[in-house]
Amino acid sequence: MLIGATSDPVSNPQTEGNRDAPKVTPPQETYLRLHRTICQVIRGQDATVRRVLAAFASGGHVLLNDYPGTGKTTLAKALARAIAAQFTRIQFTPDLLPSDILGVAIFHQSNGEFRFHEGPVFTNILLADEINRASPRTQSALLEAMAEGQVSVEGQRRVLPELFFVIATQNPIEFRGTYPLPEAQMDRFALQLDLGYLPPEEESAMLAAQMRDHPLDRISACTTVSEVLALRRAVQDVRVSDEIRRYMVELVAATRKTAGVRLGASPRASLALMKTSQALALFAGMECVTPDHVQEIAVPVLAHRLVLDPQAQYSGQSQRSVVEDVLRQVPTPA
Amino acid sequence: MNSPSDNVRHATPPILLALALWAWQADLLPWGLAMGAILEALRFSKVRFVPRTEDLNRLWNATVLLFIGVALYLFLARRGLESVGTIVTTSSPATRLDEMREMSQTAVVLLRWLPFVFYPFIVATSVSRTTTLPWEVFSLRLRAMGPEVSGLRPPDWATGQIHPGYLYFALVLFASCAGTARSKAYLPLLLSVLALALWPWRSRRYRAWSWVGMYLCLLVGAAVTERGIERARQTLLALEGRLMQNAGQGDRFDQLHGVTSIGAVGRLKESGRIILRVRTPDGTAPGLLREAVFNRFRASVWGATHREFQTVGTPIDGHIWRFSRRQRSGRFMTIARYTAQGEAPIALPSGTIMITNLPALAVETNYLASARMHEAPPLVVYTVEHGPGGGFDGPPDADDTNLDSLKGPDSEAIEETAQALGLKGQPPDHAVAILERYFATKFEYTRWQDRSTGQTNSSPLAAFLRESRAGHCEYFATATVLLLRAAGVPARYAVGFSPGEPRGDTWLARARDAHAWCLAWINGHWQDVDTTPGTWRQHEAVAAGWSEAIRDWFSDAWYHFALWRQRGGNWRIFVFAAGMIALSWLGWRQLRGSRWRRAREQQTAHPQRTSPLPGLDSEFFALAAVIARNHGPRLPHETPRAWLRRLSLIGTPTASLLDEALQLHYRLRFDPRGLPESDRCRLRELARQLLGTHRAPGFRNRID
Repeated sequence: MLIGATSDPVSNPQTEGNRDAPKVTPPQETYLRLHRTICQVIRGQDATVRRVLAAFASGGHVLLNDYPGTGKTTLAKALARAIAAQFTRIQFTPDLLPSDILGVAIFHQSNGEFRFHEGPVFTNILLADEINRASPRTQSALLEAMAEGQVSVEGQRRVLPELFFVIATQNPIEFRGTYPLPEAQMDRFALQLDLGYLPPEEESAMLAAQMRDHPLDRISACTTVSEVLALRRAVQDVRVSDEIRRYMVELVAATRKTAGVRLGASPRASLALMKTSQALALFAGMECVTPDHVQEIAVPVLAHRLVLDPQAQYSGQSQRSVVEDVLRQVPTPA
Repeated sequence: MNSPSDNVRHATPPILLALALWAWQADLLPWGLAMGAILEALRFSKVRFVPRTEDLNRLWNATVLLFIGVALYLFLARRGLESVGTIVTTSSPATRLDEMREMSQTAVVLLRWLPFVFYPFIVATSVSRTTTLPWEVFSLRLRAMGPEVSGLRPPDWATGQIHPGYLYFALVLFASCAGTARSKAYLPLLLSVLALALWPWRSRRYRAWSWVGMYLCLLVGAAVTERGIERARQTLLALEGRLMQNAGQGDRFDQLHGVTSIGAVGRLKESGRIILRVRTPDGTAPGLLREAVFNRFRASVWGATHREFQTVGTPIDGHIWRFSRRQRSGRFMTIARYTAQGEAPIALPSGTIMITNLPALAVETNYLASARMHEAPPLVVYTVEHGPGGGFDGPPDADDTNLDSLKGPDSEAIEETAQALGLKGQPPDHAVAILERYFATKFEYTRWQDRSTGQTNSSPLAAFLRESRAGHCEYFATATVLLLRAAGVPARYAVGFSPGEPRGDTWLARARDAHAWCLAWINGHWQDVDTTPGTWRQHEAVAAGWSEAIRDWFSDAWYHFALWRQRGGNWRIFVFAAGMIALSWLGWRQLRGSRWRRAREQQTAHPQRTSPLPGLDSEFFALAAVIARNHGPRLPHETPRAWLRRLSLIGTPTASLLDEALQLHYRLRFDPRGLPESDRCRLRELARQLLGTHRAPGFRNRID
C-alpha cells in the first residue's frame, strides 16, 4: 500500500484533534463520537471506519468487498446503531424482486383502493447484504435511489429521506450464484473498501471482547440524524483550491489514459473524490483539502470503477494497482 | 473484381488528355502534348527514387516560390503596379475599365501558365516511389503543427495522403478553363476527361452502362446549364438596363427625326418625370439645353439632312472631350442623366467648349451639333464648359435657308406672314426682333389644340399662323425657323430642355420641360431664339399633380443610389485604403493570434507554470530544500507529509514543530482563503527555528 498506513497521524483523529485544532467544531465532534462508537465494535479497522464515515459524511454510498466473516455486516450495523436513525437490511438473494426493495401497491378490499406499501428502501441507512447475489434487475432497482435519493414506483416519484445511506456488502470469492454488479451500479458507490483480516493480536483482542456478548449489543446511538445532516453540510463547506481540483482531475483523467484500462473513472468519480477528500479534511480538523487527503482516498474512490482489459488482468494488473500507478505518475502539488 | 482501395492505389488520371485539352485551349498544343507524353512515359520508366519528407517539403517550397516568381514576373512585365495605381487614381471610368481588363488578363495568363509552373513538381513526384504525398507537404501550417494534429483533419482526409497526380490533373483542367479558344466542344471534352479520370473510382455496385447513362445526362445537363447561364446573364443585364431606363428617359431619342406634335389634336400631355439634373456653380438658371438640332421640315416632322454622326476622337486624359478651340470660359454646368442601354443624347448648352468626366466609351456628333454617347453607364454625370464663341455647330449651308420642302398651305402661310411682317431684306437681328415681338404680342401659349379646321387647303402650321394663333413650343419654334428662313436668315430647329425648376443648387428638367426653339445665324454664329411666350412654364406647371412630390422623392432616392453605385473619383481610393488597413489588421491579428494561441496551448499543457499559484513564497520551501539536501529529495508524487513520514522525521524531537509548520504551509498553499497574517508570522518563525536545527551539524546523525 502506498499511502495511508493506519499509523498515519493524519488518520488518527484523536491525536490530531488534540494537537492541531484545540477547538473541535461540532461537526468534527459528531464524527469523533461516531468513529469512537464504531471502533468499539470493529477492532483494528480505524482507517476503514474513517473512510466509511468519509463517504457517509459526503453523501456517498459504500460497497464493502471482502471475504465472509471479516465484519462487513457488523460494520454496517454498528454505523446504523450509532445513529438514532431508521435502519433496514435487505438480504439479497437470487429470487429477490425489485418490488421487494422499493415497495408495492396492494389492493385493500376494505376501501377498494390500492395503497402503496413502502419497501425497505425507505429508510435512513440501508444495508444491502450480499448485493451480488441478486439478479442485475434487482440490483438496478437501487440505481435511482442511490443516485437521486428518490424512487419511481408505478409511475409515481417518491422521495427518500434526506439522510439516505446505502452500505452494501459483497463477497468477492464466491462465483456460483452471484451476479457481478454492472459498471453503472459500481459507479454509484462512492467508495469500495476492503476490510481485510485483522492482525493476530487484534483478532485475539476481538475474541476476548466477544466472550460473553457481542459488542454491537452494547453500543447505543451517539448522534442524531440532524447532527449527521449538519456534518454533511459542514463537509460541503470545506474549501478546495483550484490546484487541488486540477490535481484530482488529472488523477481521474490519467486512469482513462492508462494502458490496459478499458473503462476509466467517470466524472462522477472526480466528484466523489472531491467530496470524500473534503470529508477527510474536516475529520482532520482542516478547513481546506490537502493532497494527503486526495491520495488517501483515491484508491477506494477510483479503483472499483475501472474496467480492465482481460489481457491486463491476466498480466497481473489490478484495478488497485492501476490507481496506485496513477498516483505515482501524476506530480503532487506541494 | 478489384476492391476500391486497389483501384485507388493504381489509378492515375489521364494526364495526357488533360494536358492536351489545356494546350488546345491555351494555343500551346505542341507543348501540352510533349509534356503529357513525358509524364505518361515516366510511368513505364524503371528509375525510381525514394524521397525523404524534407526533400518533398523542399520541392514543394521551390514550386511555390516558382509560382510566386512567375506571378510577379507577369504582373511586372505587363502594366503591373502602374496599372494598380491607375485604377486607384484615375477619374476616368473608361481608363479604369481598361486597366481592370489588363489586370484580369494578367490573372488569366497566370492561370494559363499554371501547368508549366507545377510541371517540375509533378515530374519529380512521378519518378519517386511514393504514389501519395502527405498533406503536410502542401501546408506550412500543417508542417508546423506536426504529425499529432492529424486527428484534426476531416475524417475523409484521415489517411493524410494525397495523390499529386490528381492534384496536377485538377490544376491542368482548371487552367484549361482560362483558355482562349472558346469552342462548343470544350465543355463536352472537359466532362469526358473528367469522366475518364473518375472511371476507376466508380462504385462497382452499378453496371457500367448506368454510369455511361449518367455521364450522358450530365453532358446534356451541362449544355443546358451553360446556355441557361448565358441567358440569365443577358436577362440580368437587360433587366438592369431597363430598371435604369425606367428611372430615366423612356424610349430612345431620335436625333435624326424630330416627330413634332404639330397637328396633334387635344391636350399635349407630358409627365413630370425628372430627366436632367443640372447644377451650375453659381446657381444661375442653366438656360436652354439642346439635345438635337434639325434643319429640314416636312409634314410635321423635322429632320436632319447631315445625318452622319462622327465619333469625336480620343478624349484627352480619357474623359475630356474638347469641341471648340476657343479659349476656356470658366463657366461650367454639371448635368446628370440616365442612359437607355448605355446610349443617350448629350444635352448641351449653346457654346459648348468641352465636356469633362463623361464616362462614355464614345461620343458622336454630327454637323448640326447634335451629340450622343455610346457605351455609357446607366447614369452619367458630366460637366460642360460653355461660353460665347464656343459650340461646334457646322456653319450654315443651303439647307438652313431652304423652304422647298414645305407643302402648299405651310408654304403659303409662311410666305404670307413674312410678307405681312416685312421680313425680307431685314438684317438678321432685326428679323429676330420683329419675330420675337410678333409672337409675344399676337400669340398665346396653349397645350390644347382644337380639331383642325375642315379646310383642305390648310395645315396645322398654317392654322396656327392664320387663325388660332395659339400653340405650344413646337409651333412657335417651327414658325420662327421657317419665317427666319423666309427672311433669308439661316435658321435651325433645336429641341431639348429648359430646366426651370430650381431645387437647392440643382435645376430639374422634367419631361414636360422639354422645349423647342430656333437657332439663328446672327453675326457669324448660331444664337438661340426662343419665341415661345414666357407663360409656357406656368401652363406646364399646372400639369404637376399632387403625387409629383412622392414621385420626386423616389426619383431622388434612386438617383442617389445610382450615383453611389457608380460614382467615380476618390471613393475607390478610400475603399482601397480601407481594404489595405483591414488586410494588415487581419495579418497582424493572425500573427498575434498565433502567438497567443501558442501561449494558451502551453498553459493547458503545463497549467502550474503559467497561472499564479498561491503560497509559492512559503517559508516551508526553504526548509524543505534543506531537508532534501540532508535526507534525500521528495519524489514528485509524494505529498510533503508522506515525504516527511518516509524520512521518519515525524518522530524526531522537532516533529511537532515540523508538523505545525507543514500544517500552516498546507493552509497557505491549498486554502483558497489563504493564511491570516498572524499564522504567516508563526510559519516564518517555525521555519527559522527548524532551519537552525536542521542546518546544525550532526543533526542528521542524531536522527539517524
